Amino acid sequence: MDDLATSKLLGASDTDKVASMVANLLEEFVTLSERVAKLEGSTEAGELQDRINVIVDRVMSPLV
Amino acid sequence: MTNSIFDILAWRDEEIPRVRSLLAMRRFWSASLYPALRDEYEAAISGKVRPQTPDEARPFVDALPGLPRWAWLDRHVQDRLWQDVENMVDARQDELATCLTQRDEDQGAFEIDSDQAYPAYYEQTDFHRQTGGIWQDDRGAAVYAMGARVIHIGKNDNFGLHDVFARDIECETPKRILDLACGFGKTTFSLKKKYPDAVVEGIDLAAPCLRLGRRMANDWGLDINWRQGDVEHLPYEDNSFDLITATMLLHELPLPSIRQTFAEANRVLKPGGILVALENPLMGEPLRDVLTQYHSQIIMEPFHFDFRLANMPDFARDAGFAQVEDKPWFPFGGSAASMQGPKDWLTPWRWTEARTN
Repeated sequence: MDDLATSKLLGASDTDKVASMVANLLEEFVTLSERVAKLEGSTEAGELQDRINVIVDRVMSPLV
Repeated sequence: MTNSIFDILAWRDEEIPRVRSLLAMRRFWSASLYPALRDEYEAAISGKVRPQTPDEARPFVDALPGLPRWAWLDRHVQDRLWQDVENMVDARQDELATCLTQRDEDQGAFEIDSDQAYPAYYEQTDFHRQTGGIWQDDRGAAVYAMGARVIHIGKNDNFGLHDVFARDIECETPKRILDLACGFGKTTFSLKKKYPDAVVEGIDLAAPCLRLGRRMANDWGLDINWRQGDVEHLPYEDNSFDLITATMLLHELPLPSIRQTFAEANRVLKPGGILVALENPLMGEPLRDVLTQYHSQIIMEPFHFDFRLANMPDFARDAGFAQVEDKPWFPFGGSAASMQGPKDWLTPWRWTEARTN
């Protein structure tokens, strides 16, 4: 086996899975965030969508 | 008391954040990743002969560092969409089964062919990455209907785009109208609303979609006929219809099937009848056109790029249509110039209209 201390351990398909995990976690986080927003009194649909857009933009910004 | 199909398919409060999350990721893909790819592309071709065609652009595009990320997110959002919507539909299965059952008071004929043969391309392709497609069971049709609403939220709530499409058709008092590959009836509803006195019929290979369309039409009070069938082998006599529509159908077909569909439409149209097809063409800008090709591959529309390279007016003329018009269509205003923003991921429309002698 390759040197486990130095070799790249994740191949392309593994990276796909890790990226999917991150995106799935993001969706769960967004769901919770909206609940918080509602508890804080935000109910306007456009405002809630904008809030989620900002979160997604921040989390995904390293992809740009 | 059974809920209406629209009540059943409406998003529940707890589902809306997931819809918003999908929309936000799709927005990031088109409004952030695509402009970044544009910058990379412009840097890559700087100082070189500017590519004029998709083939010339493809080597530059394939080498862009951001391309795998753009492609990955495209695929992920599509898969996430179906997974989320499948969960939503599964929570409604019992209600759906009751709602979709035929009722004595249902308007409109409903013909299912238990021996219906499916073309190989149709059976073998999970179009749009929807596992199992829309034709095998009622769950698939409902997943498709809810997924389509996510994709078009805001832009096509209550099928407004289809209403505009019907509005712009110039066909005076048609008596019989056929909507090809009608799915669950987005265009069919709009045709019946515009032409209430006409006999309007939707035909599709997917019986589950027809069941969904019948229930939606009845909940709206629209008297529409639904029939299972293949657009390449229309189960109608010659000279049967005044108007035939095909919205977002042709790009899902292999080129020989498009030719056969045109020939069948020409056969069943009356003299002076009209076929109107609505599609998304290429932009005529190399980077966008290559990315559009890749997007079609990613979301499993395997015939889309070949369709876009083919000349539909020629196909229509070859099938026997006498007059053919092919033009851009702007359902909500705009112009050709407004579609040319290099960093805007826009989807143009093309309206192809063919008349018989």
